[in-house]
Amino acid sequence: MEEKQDMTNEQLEAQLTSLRAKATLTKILTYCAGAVMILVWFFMENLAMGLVFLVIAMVFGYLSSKNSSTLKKLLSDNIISGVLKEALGDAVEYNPWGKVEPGRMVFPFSYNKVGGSDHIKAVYKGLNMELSDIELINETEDTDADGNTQRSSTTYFKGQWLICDFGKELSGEVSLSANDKKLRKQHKNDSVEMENETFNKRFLVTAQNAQEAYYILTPHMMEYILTMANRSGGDVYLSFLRSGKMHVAVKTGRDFFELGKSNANVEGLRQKFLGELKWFTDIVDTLRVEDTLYKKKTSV
Amino acid sequence: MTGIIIILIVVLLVALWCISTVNGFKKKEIRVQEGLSGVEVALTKRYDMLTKMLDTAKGYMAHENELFPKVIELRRGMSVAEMNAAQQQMDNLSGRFFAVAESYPELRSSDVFLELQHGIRDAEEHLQAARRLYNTSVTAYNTAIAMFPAKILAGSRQPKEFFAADASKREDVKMTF
Repeated sequence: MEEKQDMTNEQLEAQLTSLRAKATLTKILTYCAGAVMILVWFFMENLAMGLVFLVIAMVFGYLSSKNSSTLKKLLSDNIISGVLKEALGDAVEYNPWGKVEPGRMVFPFSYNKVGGSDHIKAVYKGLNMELSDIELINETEDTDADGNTQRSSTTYFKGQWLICDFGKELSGEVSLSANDKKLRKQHKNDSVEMENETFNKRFLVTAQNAQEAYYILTPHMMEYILTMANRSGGDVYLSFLRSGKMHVAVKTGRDFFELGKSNANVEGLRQKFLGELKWFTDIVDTLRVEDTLYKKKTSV
Repeated sequence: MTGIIIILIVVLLVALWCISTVNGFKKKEIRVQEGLSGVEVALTKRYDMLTKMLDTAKGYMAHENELFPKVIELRRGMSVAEMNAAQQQMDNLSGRFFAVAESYPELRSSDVFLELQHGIRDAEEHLQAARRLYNTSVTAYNTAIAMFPAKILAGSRQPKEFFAADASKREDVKMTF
């Protein structure tokens, strides 16, 4: 996780811009070669030319993926590792191609495939935490009367997933989901009404033991969750598991630590990545404040 | 004939509404009872932790025993007012105990003391949760029996008593850094 200092910011910016241009160009060429292949193979029935364009598409596809990988590695070695150290401290591991293992969460959809990237593992202020980009996909296969099989894939969730210690033992699980009529109907028997009306309108709380929902969701915690949900820019799902781990899934619709279409300015990127992490470090900070408040109340 | 059918449908609808309303009252009443029993369990847990803490402390501060007379009594089926009073006594006792414990660094640094202190804190959190859950169930029940037209079927049902927050907890949280 050492930040490489062997090139200047200008050199790094130039290299990032060049790699992004190459990755975009090769991606476009892959799609074009693919489209031409379909045209000559299926519509003009020219098998030989079709195969030539198939090979061309594969070569451009390989180059595009290689350029994207190099770009990700360059970002990781020169910017992301430094940002992670600054935000989370020295005890941090980063794998650009890894992902967290999603735990149980009450979603209004089902999924059977998980994708992800930018896996971070850290010990932040004494609490273990893991974070990554996550995509939850449902793949289905339909076979018609003639035996033709059609596969379809729908991405229901794209965003970030945080797992962290919350230091309380539970006998059951407590989950919070964005309020949804269908979901409320499904969880008629295990939903819990909290004393905060605004919170009830925004979230559906489900728990095996209602008292444990109140134990975790203190009035201060509910106010905080409402504030953080307003700042998240997407639906927020939380789960407090028996193992003493808290899972937070935020449907932001985008990936973290991406160069994107913005200017490849090193300082700008650093600030952008720090901002992306802050939302999650704030959650951990709040959990620690909650714990401190309890400690104060008893020892005074 | 049509008139009779309409009357029958109306009677049936009214009967169904009556059944569902009365069942709703019962469900809410059961939730209130469950909530009260949750408070009782949490109160007992807190009492046990506090007793263990006092027993542990005896060895370190034998001559302070008169400070902590065992006047708190818990029994099954206590009323809300009795539970409130018991909790108030426990708050006072633990406040006094921690104040006295300040003068015994050996006690404060012992592993058993730290573990029990954590246990008391956890029991206090559970008690607060149980009280809040009970109060939410009481709000739902009291609202249900007070609202018209359901009020007509409430009969002799009386509003349930809330757990009142004590004066110190009604104050704003003061934080010192």
